[in-house]
Amino acid sequence: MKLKLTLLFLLILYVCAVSAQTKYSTKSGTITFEASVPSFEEVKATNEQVSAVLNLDNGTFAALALINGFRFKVALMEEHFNENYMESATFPKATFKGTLDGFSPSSLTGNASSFILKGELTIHGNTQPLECLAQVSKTTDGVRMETSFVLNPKEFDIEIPQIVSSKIAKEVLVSVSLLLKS
Amino acid sequence: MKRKNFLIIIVLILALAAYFGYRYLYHSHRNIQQEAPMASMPVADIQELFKAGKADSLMNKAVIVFGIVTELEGKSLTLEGGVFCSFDEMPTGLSLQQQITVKGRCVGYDDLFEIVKLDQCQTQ
Repeated sequence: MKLKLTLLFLLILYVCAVSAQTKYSTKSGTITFEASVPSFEEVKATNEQVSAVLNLDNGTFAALALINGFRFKVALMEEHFNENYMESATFPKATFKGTLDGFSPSSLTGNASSFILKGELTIHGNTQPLECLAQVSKTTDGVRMETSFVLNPKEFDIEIPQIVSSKIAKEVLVSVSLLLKS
Repeated sequence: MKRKNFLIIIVLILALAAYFGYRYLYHSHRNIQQEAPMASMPVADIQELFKAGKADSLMNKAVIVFGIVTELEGKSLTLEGGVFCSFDEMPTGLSLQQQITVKGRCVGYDDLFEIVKLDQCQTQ
């Protein structure tokens, strides 16, 4: 009987601990990428509808961006990006799943601290490991997280036709800015 | 004389080519609000379509969705926890629990939050 009670108590404790997970999230994060080549038309797009979830207990992090949501200055560039390069009808989203290395809730302060964000990035149906530096800080509105990294379209099987390849940089700079709220 | 005419024709052709070339390269962005909507339905129906994987015809198209506002934040709102709408210009005077109709571009389905996303929205 005593054992049963103890088990029940432990179970309740476990359930409480699980439900007390502190998840911070956003549905309107920003990702901007740039692949401009000097003296050619700017190749740059922004998605302001990025979803992301950060678990403050263990630093696990997930993000999702819909490819159709990337907006370019030039309409034709946006069409080519979706139809020819990213094939957004077949591969509608880019996702990331990973963890902030060495993260603990107590390491979160008003000043930005750097963590290594490790995980897997899936774009265009291809998954690649990704490791980058992320700045995380606590603000009055929630948790701010910023990171940037460089991607190579070839690694994700994204083909840039020869005719425009001189106008698009081989390395694409991606910046992510999120304000995660409880 | 003949040579002069020939030159004029060449210049005209070049000018036309440049004009249409420029129009093709720098044509304006779509105006979602002026496009005929692909569908008009309540939140539950569009959710159902995406969950069943039958929403391909809505992708990147103008759609009209109606429902109750359950979240208001910045330049976006959520309808019945199932459709996330972002606005280029946020309409004023909206409140939670209000029944509204929104027209926007269907961007896709976010399976992290199990939510359908629309952008370039306007209330109807």
